[in-house]
Amino acid sequence: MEPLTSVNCSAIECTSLSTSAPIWQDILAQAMTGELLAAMNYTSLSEMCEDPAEIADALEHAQGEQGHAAAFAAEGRKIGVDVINNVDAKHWKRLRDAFLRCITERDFIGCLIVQEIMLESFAVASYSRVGKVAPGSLGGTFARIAAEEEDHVDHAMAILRAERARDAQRFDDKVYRLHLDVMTTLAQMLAKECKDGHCEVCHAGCVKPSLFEVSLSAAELRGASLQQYLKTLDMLGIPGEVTLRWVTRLPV
Amino acid sequence: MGDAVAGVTTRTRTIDADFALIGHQESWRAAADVLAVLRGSEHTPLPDDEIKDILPWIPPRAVCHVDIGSVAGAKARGLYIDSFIPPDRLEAAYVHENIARVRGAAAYAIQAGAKIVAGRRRSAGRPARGRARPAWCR
Repeated sequence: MEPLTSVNCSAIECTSLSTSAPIWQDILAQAMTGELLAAMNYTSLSEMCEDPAEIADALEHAQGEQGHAAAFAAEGRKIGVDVINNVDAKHWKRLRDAFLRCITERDFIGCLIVQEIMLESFAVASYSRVGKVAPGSLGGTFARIAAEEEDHVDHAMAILRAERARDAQRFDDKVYRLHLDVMTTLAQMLAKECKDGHCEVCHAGCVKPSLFEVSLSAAELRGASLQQYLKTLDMLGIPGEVTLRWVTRLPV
Repeated sequence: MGDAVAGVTTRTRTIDADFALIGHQESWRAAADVLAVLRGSEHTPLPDDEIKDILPWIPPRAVCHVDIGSVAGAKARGLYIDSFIPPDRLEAAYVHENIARVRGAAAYAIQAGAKIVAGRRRSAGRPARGRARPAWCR
């Protein structure tokens, strides 16, 4: 009988990760693409701002998101995979285009709603779920970044609440308009199956059917994201019965 | 009810409710009917497997308003708040999760300004009977 101290835990983890590495590779690719898109969005926002403090704030956020993307790439290297990204992939490009429409309209509040309420809800919820099941530093990185993204939401919440207090109906109408655009795309991304063909981010076939091998599922990631989104809209003060109707009308 | 609504005043809250009723659906058929009404007739109904995946993630919230009137002519406005307890998780094994959901529904009722909150307790041993949505829902 060997002493307990000789058990090589890192070897066990490495063996287990080698079989699931292609799954983590795709999960990391989606996360990295989302972070790079967020960095691009904050950079675009900085170009629209006039107040030096707002410019600095947006650029700091952009740098933070770049850091998250780099952290995901580093986690890929640790398990021996190259993490690719594709901000021009069909769903991600549509999300970027929705944000750029707000930039074109010089709609600062619209930009915050898209990035901080919709995209960050998805990021916080899905990273948290991944953080709970991913092994070792991979899980730690997802959990840490989920917490940092949650801070972003808190930061934007004060600005958005103040805006809603000025004219609730106008604000809610704007959120609904953006919801139809952005959340419809996110719902298609998060559908249990990719019915409209390859997402252009996964390195081979769709990763969704394999997620159960790492104790995840597309349905769980979608459910957690929608729950986080509903709770965030509650915090803004939009009536829950209204947002429930919005969410139940999303595509599946 | 006549006296009970005499003190109704305008409140600066998200929803202005005199009372709230908290409940949940007891069959997947009933839950599907509620979601179909929320989804609207212009959208195709959600498939059963999608409903089973989505419903457990919905936080407690108002589903519809309830307007009632007394024979004396007094009126009161209420809310039906669904706790969205999944119909296949009504057993004792889920008691803590379900209590948390009911607490969430109660918090929602408080936020809505409801002065009276009531919930329907499921009788032990009675067969579960679902209903599309409460008949008093508009």
